[in-house]
Amino acid sequence: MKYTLQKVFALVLVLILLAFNLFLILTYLRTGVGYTPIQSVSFSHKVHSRYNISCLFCHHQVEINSYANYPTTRTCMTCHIALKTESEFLKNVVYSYDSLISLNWNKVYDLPDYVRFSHSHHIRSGIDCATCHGNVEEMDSVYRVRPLTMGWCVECHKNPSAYAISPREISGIFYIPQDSLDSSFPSHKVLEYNLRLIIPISKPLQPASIECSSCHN
Amino acid sequence: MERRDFLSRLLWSSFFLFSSCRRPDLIFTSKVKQDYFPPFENVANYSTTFPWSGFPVGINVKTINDAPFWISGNPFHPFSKGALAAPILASLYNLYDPLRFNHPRIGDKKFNLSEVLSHTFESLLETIKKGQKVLVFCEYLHSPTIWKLQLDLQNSFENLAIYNLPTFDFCSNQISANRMIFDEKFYILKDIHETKIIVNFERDFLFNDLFFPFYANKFNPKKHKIYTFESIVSLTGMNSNRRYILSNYEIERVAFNLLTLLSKEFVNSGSAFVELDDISLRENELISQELIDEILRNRGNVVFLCSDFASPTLHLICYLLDYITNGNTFTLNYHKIDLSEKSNFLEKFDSSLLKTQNIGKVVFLNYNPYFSLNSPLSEFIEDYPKENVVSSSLYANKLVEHSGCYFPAKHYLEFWLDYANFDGSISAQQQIIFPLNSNSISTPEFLFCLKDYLSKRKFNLEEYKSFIFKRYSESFDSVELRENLSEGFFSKGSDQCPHPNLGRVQLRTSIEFIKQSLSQQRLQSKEILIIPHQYSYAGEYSYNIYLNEIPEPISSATWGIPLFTSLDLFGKMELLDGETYCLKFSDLKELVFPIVSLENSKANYFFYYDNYYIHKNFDFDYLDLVDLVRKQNYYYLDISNVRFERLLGRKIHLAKFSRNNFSDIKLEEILGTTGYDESKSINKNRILQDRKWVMSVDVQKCIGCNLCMVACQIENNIPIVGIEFISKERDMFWIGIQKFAEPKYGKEVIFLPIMCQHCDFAPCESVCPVGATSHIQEGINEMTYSRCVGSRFCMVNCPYKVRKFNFISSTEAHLNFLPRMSNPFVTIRSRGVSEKCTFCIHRINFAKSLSKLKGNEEYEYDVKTACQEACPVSALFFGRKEKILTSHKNSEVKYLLPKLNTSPNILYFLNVSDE
Repeated sequence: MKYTLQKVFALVLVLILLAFNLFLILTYLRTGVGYTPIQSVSFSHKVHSRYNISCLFCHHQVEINSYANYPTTRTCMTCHIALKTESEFLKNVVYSYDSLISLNWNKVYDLPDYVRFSHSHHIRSGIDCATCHGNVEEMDSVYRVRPLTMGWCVECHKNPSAYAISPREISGIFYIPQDSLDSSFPSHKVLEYNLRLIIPISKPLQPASIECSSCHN
Repeated sequence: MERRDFLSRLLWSSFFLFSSCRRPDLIFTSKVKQDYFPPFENVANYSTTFPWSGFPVGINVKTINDAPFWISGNPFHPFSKGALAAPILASLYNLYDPLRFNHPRIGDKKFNLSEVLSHTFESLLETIKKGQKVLVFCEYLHSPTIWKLQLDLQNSFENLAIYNLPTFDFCSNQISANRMIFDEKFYILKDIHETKIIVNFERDFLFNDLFFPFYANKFNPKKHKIYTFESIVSLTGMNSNRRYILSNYEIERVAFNLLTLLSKEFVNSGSAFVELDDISLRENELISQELIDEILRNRGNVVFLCSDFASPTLHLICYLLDYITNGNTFTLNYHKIDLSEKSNFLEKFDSSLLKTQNIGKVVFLNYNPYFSLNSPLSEFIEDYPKENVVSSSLYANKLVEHSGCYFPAKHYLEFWLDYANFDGSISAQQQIIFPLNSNSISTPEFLFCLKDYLSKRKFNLEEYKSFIFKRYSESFDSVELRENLSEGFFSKGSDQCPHPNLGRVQLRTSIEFIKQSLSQQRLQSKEILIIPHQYSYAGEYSYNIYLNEIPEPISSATWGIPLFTSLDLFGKMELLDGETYCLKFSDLKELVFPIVSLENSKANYFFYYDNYYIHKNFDFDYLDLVDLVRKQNYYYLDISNVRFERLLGRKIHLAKFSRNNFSDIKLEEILGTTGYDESKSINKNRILQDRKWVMSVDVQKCIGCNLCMVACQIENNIPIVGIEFISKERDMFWIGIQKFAEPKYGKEVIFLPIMCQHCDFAPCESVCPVGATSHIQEGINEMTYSRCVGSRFCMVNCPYKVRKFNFISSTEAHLNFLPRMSNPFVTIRSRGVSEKCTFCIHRINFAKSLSKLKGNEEYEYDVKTACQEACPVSALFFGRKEKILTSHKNSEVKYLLPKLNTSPNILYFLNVSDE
């Protein structure tokens, strides 16, 4: 046949592209599992969790807002103003504290803009941080543990008790598990104590809404 | 295939391949938030006031991360009680508009603010010392702080004269009438709260009025009836029960006629009213027996209103009418607005001052004589040397070109001030955001610094805030500042609406005056009457694209308002309807307008609602028209027919008030009770019927002010698309108002707000090829933009034609996209997706999260949609179906196009009147 060389060239190109695509799909690479960005401050969660600092000590807005905040420099300096002041790792933090310029953190778990995810909704239902973020207290530098695809979210929404982890002590979520309740404790009531909201007792996790508008509005 | 062809195809295909790939943005930097207990989602509410032509209207501003993104009314404010107007909502645009971020300049060079201020103050001081006069013209703000500053300045320096000029002189006619009859110098505002009959002589209190927020929230067609006498076509006339058309010069005579007829009926002691013998009988026909019967039946509950711009004669006649029908006393509710003593408002600026006195410098603080059509002043400026004129305004306009020194003004959300409400309380204007243009200064700050400089030779702008806070605490003892600021005003005034002590009523002198003025003839030349329109009060809001695109309520025209006149004049001058003409005036000025005839008017002049086409200066009332020349290739856009054009197989022009035929379609054909069996709906099991979200519309209350359209655009980040798109019927309004002229429902014109009906059996849901639109359990038809591929099948199938499409991305289509102004909770749509009213689902999700945070029961939260919050007459109500049906037990619910079996969820409540 004529043009065999061009034909072969085209075929090979198509095959390479197909293989590449399959590779991406099958290895979840395009979803970013395992993505470990380099941070400007080499903060290690493993080192700090030794001291039983809960997740919510730094990321305190996760209970009340849709986003979980990065800790402010002041949060770091509560301890580090006196501890390990000459450590090299702290140089950037101290500079930020003196100059009042905020630190730049690179986001590990980033959802696209057309998705509206509310942390407080999920924490209020009695789901632990580790369900989606993994065991962060054992990570030196945080890497992505879940694919964060829509299919993965919907799977859990359909059957949450199979995937959800109930709140652990290290997370710092103020949560009273179903077993240890008194009959006198009011369910569905919120107790306010020193501006902290106590999460009500969770009902057993029910399937959540899989309607489009709950996340895409 | 040749080698070259193959290679080119390969290259092109690889070009497409690589151009469609985009690396995801995996690197993201975030800002650190503040370290204290934040409000939910960082959304905070602050309350402040908007100067509605100087008078305070209380508003609540919603901010995210301290940047405002939504404005709603403050329901506790004594003047407006939560009502708003379109320019107030749209003023957010002016806050973020980069066009106003100008540099101050002297001559042609740019400087920063402190240099310009010191230069200005220095030159003013020199002028005063030389013995020449300095004239300062301020915008009118009803604020005790400004009055005090002005008084202090005027008392310390003889050669400094400060004038507070309103944009249009709305009160001098009424005040001269008040002087005559009551011997008072107040402006009197009549309340309509408890009246049953309102007889209105050309006052457009439901739209084009200075006190529109005051009247709008008291409008209730079930409680009172409105009878309007007018020559122009106004929105109040369209909303009244009966409308009597007369010519301009007939109004006073008709009013006096009514007075004499009524005085015959109320035979009380001292018939001090004498008939005017030379009234011709023809004018008596307008006053029907029906009107007189109604007035007699409701003795003591009748109010007579007349336009602020009417002559003192008409005002006097109205007072006399009030007096007789209410039993020879003024029993109804009046509010006195004190404009005289503190504000030096009544010292009218005498234009002969300009020629006689020795004038050095002229300063304009946010007052524009071009916009206010103040021709002696604007002519004066054009001849005056530039270095002696100083001006300050938000935008650079014609006045700025004629001034030697200019500094930009601050937006009202950027500085502190206080306002006086008419019940004695003080409203606070809070600073919500730091001044976005760092080189700007506001009127009170300028006066404050000027006072400091003239006495001490130095000024400090930062002391202004402590000055204002001292003023707040001076007026009151032990002020809880934070609490009061959160409510928006310091409540010291009385709650009651007083019957003010109006002094001795001087009847005889007023009657003499009336008879005298009626016996004079009025001119009947070809005239143009310019009426200030709410959407562009003398051009103040003309730079605002939201107000330009929203259709003007009376003619449904966008991007330009035509000149209106009656059919008679049309015929006489042999004009063609809707065509554009170039009008030539005696002093060689020219204006280009489209001209539209109105069947419902007998005006023998043209009338025009001003908008941004006014660039020339001319006298307010009358112009001497010389010639009309038709212009080709101009057009104006009437979008009233866009929605229902191809409905029911006929081409329909629905209720164009400008055309001779009213609607071909009757309201009954469109609106009816549903015969649809809900148990047969495909969504029967999916929708929780008791918890369905439903919007109820009180059709008779809707006045057609188009505020819901502005609110929806601002809340949902809808682009303003401009003339080209609208002429192709590609407008992006999620809600629109249709007009029907059917007096049997009690009003002359019925306004019907139409938005997505969220049908239970929606024709748009079943045809989407990718399933981008579906129904949620709570009854809302949701739209998922990320799934939509742009087939537009849903737009075709929707019988109400409420779905809009993004032909280009909304940021590109938007004439001037301001990202800071956009609502952070609503997606900004990309190209190729269709959109429609979502019942503000972002607000529903927000309320759901907030209620979950508080631990409330599920489904126990209330949501207000944007249109409901904005509606000044509360015609829209959004809530669960149970609640709404229980509260409207006695009324019949109607739906739009019920025979199509779409089972819509917008409940229209429309009662046939008892006539």
